[in-house]
Amino acid sequence: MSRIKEIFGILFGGRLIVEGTGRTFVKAPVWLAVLAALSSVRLAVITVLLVVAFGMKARIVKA
Amino acid sequence: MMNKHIRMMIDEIFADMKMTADNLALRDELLANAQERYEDAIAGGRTEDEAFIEVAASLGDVQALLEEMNAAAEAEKPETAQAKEHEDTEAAAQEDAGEEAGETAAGEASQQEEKAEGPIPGTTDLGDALNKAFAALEGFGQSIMPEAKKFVRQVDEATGGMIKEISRAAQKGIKDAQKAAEEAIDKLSGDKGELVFDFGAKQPAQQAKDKAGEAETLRTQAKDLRAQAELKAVIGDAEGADELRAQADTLDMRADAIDQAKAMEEMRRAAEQAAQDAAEQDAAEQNEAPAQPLVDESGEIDEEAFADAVEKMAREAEDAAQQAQEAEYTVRDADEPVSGAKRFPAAGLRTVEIQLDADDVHIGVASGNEIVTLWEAENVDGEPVVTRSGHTLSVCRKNPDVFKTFFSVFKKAGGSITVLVPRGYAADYRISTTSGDVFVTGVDAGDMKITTTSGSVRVEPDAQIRTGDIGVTTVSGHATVSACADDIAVTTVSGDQFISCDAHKVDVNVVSGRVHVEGACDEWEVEAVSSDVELLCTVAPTKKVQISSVHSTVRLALPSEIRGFVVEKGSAISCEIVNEFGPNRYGTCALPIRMETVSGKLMITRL
Repeated sequence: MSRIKEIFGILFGGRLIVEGTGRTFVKAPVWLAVLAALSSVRLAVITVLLVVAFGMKARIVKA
Repeated sequence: MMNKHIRMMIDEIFADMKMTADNLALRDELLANAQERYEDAIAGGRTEDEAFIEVAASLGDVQALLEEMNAAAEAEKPETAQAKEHEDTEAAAQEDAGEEAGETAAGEASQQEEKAEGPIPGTTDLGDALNKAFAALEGFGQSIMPEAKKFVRQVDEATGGMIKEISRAAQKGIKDAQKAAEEAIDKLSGDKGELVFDFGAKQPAQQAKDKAGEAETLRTQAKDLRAQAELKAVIGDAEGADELRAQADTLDMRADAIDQAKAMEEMRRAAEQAAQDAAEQDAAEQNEAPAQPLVDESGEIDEEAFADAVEKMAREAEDAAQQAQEAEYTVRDADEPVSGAKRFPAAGLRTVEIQLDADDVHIGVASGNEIVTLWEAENVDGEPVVTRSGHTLSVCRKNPDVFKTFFSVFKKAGGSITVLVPRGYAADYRISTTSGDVFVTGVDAGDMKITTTSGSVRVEPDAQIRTGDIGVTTVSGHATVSACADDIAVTTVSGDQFISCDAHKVDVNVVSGRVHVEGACDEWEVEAVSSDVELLCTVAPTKKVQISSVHSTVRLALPSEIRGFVVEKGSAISCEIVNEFGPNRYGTCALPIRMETVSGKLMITRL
């Protein structure tokens, strides 16, 4: 139960930030990012690959 | 009695119609005509029933006509056409009331022809239609909002405040979610306050390099603080100066500690390497075959053994020569970072050209009489190529690649190169990087042109010698220029600028970064879009101050002893000028301060 609470808490109360070198590329609520990823899985996969390939930093911070 | 029946019949006809003013007037007129027709029939000798049937028959035609017209009006909508139809209908009704049924059909046909001729297809004004549509939507929105609020209130009251409860619950849910997120993130990250997925994990060697860079950064910050302390001391703020000096000392101590830790680490590695080498050498000596004696048992020289010995000596000498030749290049490992050094004679040096991607560039002063280049790269491919051709020293990538150059914007961790030039050689510098930082410190320089995309630039040539023109261009990197030069032009897009100078002209171009310029210049030019610009003129400008902005805030601080100036504003929509000196035409000197802006703000203050 606590795990589910954590997941939902991060989903609706967290903010996703993807930072490159010197600039921020994504700054959005986690639920919005998840929704966007679900709406276009291919785009999400490409984005993740680029993030990993360029060694960017993804952070989830408190909203 | 029959009159009552006629009225009821007409009311029935109009029962499904919207009760507009036109329709009401039409109904009254139709009623009057029907009664008149009924009375005429009675006067003509008909019985009451016959007269009523006659009137009812004529009204039946009118009813069919009205229904058709209503349907057409619903389809077309435009009010003007609807009014026209009402008028036509009225005319037709009047005709129908007075004429035979056949004539009514003819009137209907003629009316339909008119309708067909009215709006010509394809000539509808789209703008008007959209205007009407938006007006209708706006009206609908305005009319529906109070109703909607009222409805929500009613539903809320009817359900015993359930809507408010739901709203409160939603707000509470959001707060709970945020609280749960904070707890979850704290729990998962170990109270760091954020979950970090770093896909650019640094190698140990990179960390070591970062440490060195950190030490250097700390020393640079300490130097800045000392410079600021000197300024404060000149102003008379002794306490502030002491505080800044103390901060600078602290930073220096931290930098020394980092350097010491790095030196200890290197010593430890060197000791480990030496122990390993010694062990390998011992093992090799044990495995080595015993040398063949050069003299045989009879006391004569063994030619074969002698030839082998000579060949071995030649091979060793060749290896030694090879090692001596490659001594300047230190290759640690195939996958390890690579470093190297090269020296060139400084005589005749006129130009230094550096064109790199993610590598940081340091230009400094050499202690001897040679140009020294030192570099560190991530791997062999990343090594720069350093050449001296004629009067030009060139540093460029080993394998220039447009693709790599473009994508190096995203890559901050490259290598670094340090070029040390002896004093007295005022060469021109042309440096270009993509994401590498550029530092120029203490050198004698002619013209300097530095271009980066996301790298930061710091230009601090020898302040005792006037440098030529300095041009710095970055997109998102910060630019710091502290120099005594002819002309200084700094252009950034989103990078901040800090310029401290003694120059003939300073030209600042910025889009959204913050700008701080201070010093003594004859001429100041600022072009900004939406940034905060601060110009501190320690000496009154002698030529002009030109400021062009879209909606930037510019603070221009002039020395109190300035003889005068004239403030002009051109092509401004809402330019606000706040002048601490008082009038915009101040004093006896007509130094032009021109502000061209859209909605910017200019504050002129005393320094």
